[in-house]
Order: sequence, then structure tokens, then C-alpha cells
Amino acid sequence: MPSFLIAVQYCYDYLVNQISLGLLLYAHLPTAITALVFGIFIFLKTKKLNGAILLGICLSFALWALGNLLAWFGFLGSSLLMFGWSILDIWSVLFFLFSYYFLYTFIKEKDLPFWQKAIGFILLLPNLYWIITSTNLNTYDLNICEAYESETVLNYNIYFQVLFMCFVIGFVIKEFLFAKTIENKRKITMAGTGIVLFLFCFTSGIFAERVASLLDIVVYSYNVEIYALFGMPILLIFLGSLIVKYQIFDIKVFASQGLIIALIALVAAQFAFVHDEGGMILTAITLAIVFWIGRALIRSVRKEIELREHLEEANKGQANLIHIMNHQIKNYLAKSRNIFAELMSDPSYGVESEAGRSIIKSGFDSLTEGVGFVQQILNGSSAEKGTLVYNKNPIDLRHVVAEASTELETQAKEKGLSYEVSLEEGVFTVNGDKIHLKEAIKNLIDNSIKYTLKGGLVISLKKQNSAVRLTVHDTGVGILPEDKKRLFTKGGRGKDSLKINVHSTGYGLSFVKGVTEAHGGKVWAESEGKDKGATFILELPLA
Amino acid sequence: MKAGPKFFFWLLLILITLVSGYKFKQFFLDQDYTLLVNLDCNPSEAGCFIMDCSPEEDSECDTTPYKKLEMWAGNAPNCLLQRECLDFTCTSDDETCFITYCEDETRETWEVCSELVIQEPNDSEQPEEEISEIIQSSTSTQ
Repeated sequence: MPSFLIAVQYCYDYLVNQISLGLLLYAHLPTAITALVFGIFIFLKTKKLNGAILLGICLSFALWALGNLLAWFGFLGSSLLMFGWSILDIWSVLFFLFSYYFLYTFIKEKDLPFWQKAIGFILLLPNLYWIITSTNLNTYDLNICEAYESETVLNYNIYFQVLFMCFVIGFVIKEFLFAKTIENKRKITMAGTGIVLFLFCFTSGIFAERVASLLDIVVYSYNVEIYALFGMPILLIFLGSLIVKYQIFDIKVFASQGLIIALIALVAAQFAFVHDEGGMILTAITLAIVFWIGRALIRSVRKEIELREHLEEANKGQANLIHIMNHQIKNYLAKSRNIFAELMSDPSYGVESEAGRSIIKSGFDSLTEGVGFVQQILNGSSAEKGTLVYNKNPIDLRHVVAEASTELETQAKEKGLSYEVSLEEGVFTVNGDKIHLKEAIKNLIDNSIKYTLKGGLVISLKKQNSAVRLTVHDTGVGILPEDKKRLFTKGGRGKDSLKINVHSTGYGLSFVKGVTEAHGGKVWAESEGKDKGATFILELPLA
Repeated sequence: MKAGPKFFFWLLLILITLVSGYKFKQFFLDQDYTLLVNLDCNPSEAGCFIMDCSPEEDSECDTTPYKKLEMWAGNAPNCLLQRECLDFTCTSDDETCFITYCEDETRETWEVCSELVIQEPNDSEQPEEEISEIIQSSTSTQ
């Protein structure tokens, strides 16, 4: 250590007798700097809420690491130690709170409710109060170059950390169990594991010391605390994987570059406390290997990402072309239909024979079906893309369901199917676009009618907590497990669906999903398998 | 970002800035905290604290006698903050400065009190030749 930094030689000698100075620097500085750079870069690149929260985690961690380092470096002077140590508890509470905030917005894809933010803020207040009133640190013992912490403050922070971590674990488990898709479950597992491990690293050392002191076992927790700082690289690794795999921050190659740079920095920092020749040579070799492997990894990731982007661009272009074509086709079909309608309605065109009128009507019906077919594709595509325009107002969904089910009753009866409609009494007010919702509900019922060859349908509507649930149950062909994944996607249909319904566009259910999700709801299907019928469930929040 | 997060963000930023500024003033400018330090102690003047350990068994054992100083850091001289002038004594007008000597009530379990060593002049300190001369002269007078 440079001599001009040593204000109190006694404290310097005391420190180096206790712990390696290199280890202290290695544990604190690279992790803090890496976290800070990572957080700032993500925030500047994305400017989204998640990015800001991640910056909060990284910044509060970095400040905590710096404050903790000052608390160790009593030789710099008592004032610096007291200042750095006194505000440590603010930073530790903050990065616990920010960690949960990040998880919540990442998993739920919405901001934390105001009341939860208020609770988080209240949890921070005791530390702020104790700092201002100097309840915590007000005495400096120059014999051991340390300050005295208040037992009350220590206990509050330890138990806050432990209980908060248990709360975070519970939250992750709950979200995992309620996640609808395997992909979501994976994302939750990855993000949750990273955050929990990061928090656990901080809590474990001090908590172990508390338990040990109750059992009269001596454990010196401050040394354990140093190793806890490596919780940050663990978190960065998980976040980096999330960025590369799921593009949560729309940052591509940077994640892998950032991780490699962080890894190189950590290995290089070992030079701070490796003094023997053999150790230095080994560290240099490790550094060279990490650099070489890292370069290869970045190249491979960059190539993969470029290929993926190329494919996405090509897909987008193709989708636009198909959309334009469908739109044009629909226009031509509609024009032709209007001509047939004119021929049917206006006798001045000279169509007098029964055969003539019959063939014109057949042409008109066929064109009407064609227009409907193309319109369904266009609607399904627009709904999935999110480009459909909704005119939302408070509507009684019971009334909409009643109308839709009445309009399709004849179609079901003509097929010889039983048709039961059971709507719970009451007013089911939702904030929605009546036309599109009715169309979506009709699509659901129509889908069930088309794929039911015998038996019948049961349509029910009831309230479920703060939502309204529409269930369409049929005794139809059922849904195979491998088809479930594609059911509500654009063009998605069952393997044999065209055999049963030759007019299937594959866009009907994607339209239903798009409209439902645009209204804050969800739709899914359940089936026990082939020929065992299916149940389609649509849920919308009540207004 | 909506207005909600920004409200707490600004509130947090302001509070942390104020608290940090306050602590900076307290510790750097006012040096408003209590300082504890062990000073050199002379067992002939008062009871001193001594660590209850054996230098033969524990290499870190230091049995140098000491007394305990507790004072407001703002009044402490720089040399004391750097742990140099350990012969420091409290001035009579400093009400924040206390020196504690070793007694049964003030010592910790790992400390013992030194015995007060009183140094007084007495006959046994005279050289033996002088004593024998005095005895011989007193015998001859008789």
C-alpha cells in the first residue's frame, strides 16, 4: 500500500495481521467496478424500467462494496471509516429491494404496485432514522481500528435480509407454479436462481455468525462476508444468459462481451495478492486461456445473433407481403361479390330464369365465404401483431356471449349436436370492444362446432374472483399434447385438422388470443387427448 | 417510465443525499463521535489494566499496562487520532474526556488490574556497611 495513504500505521499493521490486503481489494474492487459498468451500460442502451432497476441493483451494490472497503481500511483515518460504514446499511437494504423489484417486473412484465413500493420505502426508514440519530455508529475504538455497531441495528438488518430472502424465494416458487408455458418457467428459474444466489451470498455469512453465537460456536463473519461479494458475478452470469437467450434487454453481443471482460478482470485482479513466481505464471496462463476462449465465444455468439436477425428480417418481410396479398385478394373477392349481389337484386340485368338466379346465388355465397376466409386470416394476423384497433367501453359480457351463442345455435343443431348454454345470473361488466370480443367468442364456439362430429357443446359463463370466465366444452376430436403449443399461433392447427375442417385457416384461434390479451385476459385449451373432447377457457378481468 | 416510480426515485435520492451530507459533516467536519484508545499507564501512579494472558503461550499477548481513554474525537489532537501520543492526559476543562483506571468494576473478563506499586524511602535501602557502622557506634556508646 503506498505510504501516503497510510494515516494510521498501527491500523495498517493491525489489518495486515488479520487478513490479506490483496484479497480485500480483489473481492471488492473488480466486482464493484464490473457491476457498475454493466448497470450503466444496460441502462444507457435500453432506457426501460428494467434497465433502471438493474442499474439500481448494480449502483447500490457498488456503493456498498466501496463503503465496506472503507470500513476495513481504518488506516486511512477514522473519519473515512466512520462515514463509509455508517451508510452501509442503506445500500444493502436497497439492493435487496431492487432485486425483488427487478424480479417482479421481469416475471410479471408490469411495474410494481404502488403499495409494494411504499412498503419497500418503509422498510428503509428505520436505517435512515438510526443513521441520522447516530444510534448505530457513534464510537470508534482505535485499539482495534473498528467502530461499534448497535445490536438493535445489526439485528434488524440481519433479520430483514433473511426474511426478505425467504419472501423472494416464495415469490419465485409461486410464479413458477403459476407460469403457463415451459419457456416462462425456464425464464423464471434462471432469473430467480441468479437473484436468490446473489442475496444468499450476503445473508449467509452474517446469519451463520448469529446462529453460531447462539450455539456458542465462534465464527468470524466479517471474513466470510468478503467471499459473499462474489455473489455479484454469479448474478451477472445469470443476467448475461437471460440477455443472450431471451433478449430481455435487446442487447445482443454485449452480454457475452461483458461477461468475458468481467471474467478477465477477475482473473487479472489475482495479481494483487499472488506474490510467488509460480502463482504469477499460473495466473498469466489462466488469463491467456480465458482471453482466447472468450474471443472464440464472442465470435460464435455474434455469428448466431446475426443469423437470427437475418431470419427475423426475412420472416417479417414475408409476413408483410402475405398481408398485402390477402388484403388485395379480399378486395377483389368483395368486388365480385357485390357484382353478384347486384345481379340478384336488380331485375334490369335480365336474369329471369330460376336456374340463372340459383347459379348467381351460388356464386354470391361462395364469394361471401371467400371474403370471410380471407378476412379471418387478416384479423388473426392483425390481432397477433397487435395492430388491431379497439374501441373499448364498459360492456355486459353476458349479453355478448348470449348473442354470439344464439347466432351459432342453428349451425350446431344442423350438425345434430346438442347445444347447452349456461350463463350465470348477474351483470358481467368488462372494459372491451364489443364487436371484436363477440367475433372472438364466435370463433371459439365455431371452432368447437367444426371439430365436434357427435355429442355436443356446453357453453358456460361465470364469475371467478375478479374475472369473468367463459368455458366452451365440446365432445369433439380433442387436442394432442404436441398440437397444444401451436393452437393459438398464427397458422397453427392440429395435425389432422384439415381432414375434419377443410376450411380451417389456422387464424381463428390466434385472433381469439390476440383480442383476449389486448383486453388484459387470457385464453387456453385443455384436453385429455385424441377424441376426448376439449375445453376452451377465456378469462377477462371485470371492470 | 411512469410517474409512480419517479416519485419514490426522487424521494429516495433526496433523502440519501441529505443523510450522506449530514454524516459527512458529522464525521469529517465536526468529528462528532466518541474515540476510545488505550494509553500508556504507570502502575506506580494508579491501577492499570493488563491483558490476562501469557506471552509464552500466546505470541500476540501484550502485557503492557494501559489505562482507557474515552473522549470526543473533535477535541482529540491529531497525534492521538494517529495513535501516537499515548501519554496524553485529559485537560481539566474538557468535559468530554474521561480516563478510566483499573478496578474490579471497570475491568473486563480478559483483563486484570496491576498492583499499585508504592515507592517510599526506608532503612533497608541503606547500604549494609553504613548499617553495621551505626550498630557498632551505638554499641560502643553503651
